[in-house]
Amino acid sequence: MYTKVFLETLTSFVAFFVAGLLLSTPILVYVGLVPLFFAILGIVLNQPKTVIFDRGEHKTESFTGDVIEVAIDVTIKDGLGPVIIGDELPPHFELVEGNNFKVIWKGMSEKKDNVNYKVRCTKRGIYTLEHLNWESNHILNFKETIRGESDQKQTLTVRPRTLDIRRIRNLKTIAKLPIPLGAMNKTGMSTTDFQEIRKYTFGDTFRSINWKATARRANNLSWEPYVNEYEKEGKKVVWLFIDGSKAMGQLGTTISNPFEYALLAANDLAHYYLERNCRVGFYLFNKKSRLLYPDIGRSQQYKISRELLTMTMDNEEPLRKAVEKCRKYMIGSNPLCIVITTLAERMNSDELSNIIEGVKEIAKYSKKQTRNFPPILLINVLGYYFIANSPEKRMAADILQSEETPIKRKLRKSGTIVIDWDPTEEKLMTVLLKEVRSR
Amino acid sequence: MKNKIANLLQLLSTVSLFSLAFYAFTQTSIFNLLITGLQMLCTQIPLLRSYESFLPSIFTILLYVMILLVGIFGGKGKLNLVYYFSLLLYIPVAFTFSAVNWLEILGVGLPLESFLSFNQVLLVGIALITCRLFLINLSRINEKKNEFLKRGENKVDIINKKLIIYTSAVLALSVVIAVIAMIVLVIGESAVTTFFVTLPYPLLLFGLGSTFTLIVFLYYYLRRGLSIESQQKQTF
Repeated sequence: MYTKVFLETLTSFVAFFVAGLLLSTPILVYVGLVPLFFAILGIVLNQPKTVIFDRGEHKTESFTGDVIEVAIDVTIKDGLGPVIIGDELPPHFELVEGNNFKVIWKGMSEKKDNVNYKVRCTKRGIYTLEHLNWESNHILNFKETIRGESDQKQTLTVRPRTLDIRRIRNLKTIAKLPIPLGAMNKTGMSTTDFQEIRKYTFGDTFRSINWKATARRANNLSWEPYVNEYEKEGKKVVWLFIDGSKAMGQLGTTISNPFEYALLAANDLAHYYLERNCRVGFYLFNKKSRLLYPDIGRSQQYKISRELLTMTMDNEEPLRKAVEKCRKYMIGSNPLCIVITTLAERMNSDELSNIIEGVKEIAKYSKKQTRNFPPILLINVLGYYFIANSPEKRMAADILQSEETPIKRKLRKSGTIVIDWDPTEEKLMTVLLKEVRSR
Repeated sequence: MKNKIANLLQLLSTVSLFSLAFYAFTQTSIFNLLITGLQMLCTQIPLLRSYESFLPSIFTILLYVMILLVGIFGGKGKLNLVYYFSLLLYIPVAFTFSAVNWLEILGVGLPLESFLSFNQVLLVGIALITCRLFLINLSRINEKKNEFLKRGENKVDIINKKLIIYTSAVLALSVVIAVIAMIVLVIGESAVTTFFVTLPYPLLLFGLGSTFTLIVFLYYYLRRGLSIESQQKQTF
């Protein structure tokens, strides 16, 4: 309980006292009284032992890059001396204003103070500010430091900021991208929403024949029945395959790397398609794979956002295996498959063949569309530019990037649309728009 | 800048502490003996013969230079070094008021005398120990200040000031209590001696011994009883 400093002071008294007695020198005994009384008075004074914290009302949700204000009320009940308070910040939090460390002087009366600071949340995730530590020191360092931790917690969900993907209206455009805006499922249950009147084909029920329309269109030369066509339940299926292998985090920092931008892109694309009533499925392919089967609506958006918050990189899982795992949800739906990955740092043949095989596997479940190509889109997050912070380094990144040309050529040959995205320079929307041209 | 001033103040206090001890030392017969001895040594060496009259001044300057060098290059333990050296100079002064003549016992055969009074020597002693306690605490407070600054706290000056004020207050109070205790001891010495001489020691020994044993027994008995009671409460 007592420190070395206290023992030293007492030793000083004992030394003077004993020397004075042994050498018959009263002055030394008298001088020794000063450290004795100093030690006694010192231990009578106690350091603060009761520190109460209150985090008050606080924000629970924010977006990446937002600045959050943290305010903690501190009440020190007893004791005398300095109290050191430190609120441990989670990783990826950047201190913007104020300080999460504070020293408060506690005098004779009860002390009320507060710790205020602002932090920037730099990475998505669910964070808990729970390590609010305090320690109180004895004014003369005679007693051991008392340490404590508050049980007050502040949970903060940091959501990825949206990249703003919008649809271009009122322009006669043709997209190379197989994005199924308004594309409906051709099979499935009919809804009550009228779509069109068409000629009768084999298999149509007699109940669906529109007799009035048939009569109006009938003439001497031909007589064909017409049927009412209704919208089928559900729209097109979109599958998002996100690469969660460690290769995604090899370039850049822990905050800004291809993986983080891949998640951002996935979040926005999911949001975009779900807004247009598409059924969106999600798969993160690595050893800790995560699968969300295709669904529609806000609940699916919420599920995807929540999953994205806690996703981490792990060892590689081949894309082909990932597609095989999703097989039962893909069969018959002719989905649009979007693969988000990086080709940088993947020059060995195994890794490349994994991607090509994966794309081939996806093609099995997709009906060939324009120019006999399956609807597969591969977003290649350009990794080298994350570490290129000068014109010279950008040139070097350009050269390294050119090494990806053969694999891209191979992918394009198989019908995949490959889009290169440099998040440090352009928005995802800008990149996607490059694939749109006038009719 | 503030740190430099604090360091300078610390150095000045250390030098003052040493000066006080050295002054007390110069007021003793030992100092005279030392100087005489050195003068005798100088007469034997032809080169130093002309400096004979400056010996006390040279001795003083050399000591101060030594203290300054310790102050500058002494590192962390410089305060202790100066303090122990000052204590070394002070102890002979304190011995002048000892019941035993230590010089005679050591066979020097000279009377151990001081030109300062008992109270003056006591005051120097108190000043010496007070100064040391203050300097040690001051350096500890400065260390703490630097630690706080390193951890990003900018408003450490207020904390520092408060720590110095409280430490000084506790130290001053200790000195006051010690002085009062000394006065009480000196004045009441004879009365206390008479009181203790007349005490019935055999009775006291038995009485105090049995009381102490009883207290210890009661303490353990009650403590055990309380712990059993709390255990029973937890069980229910």
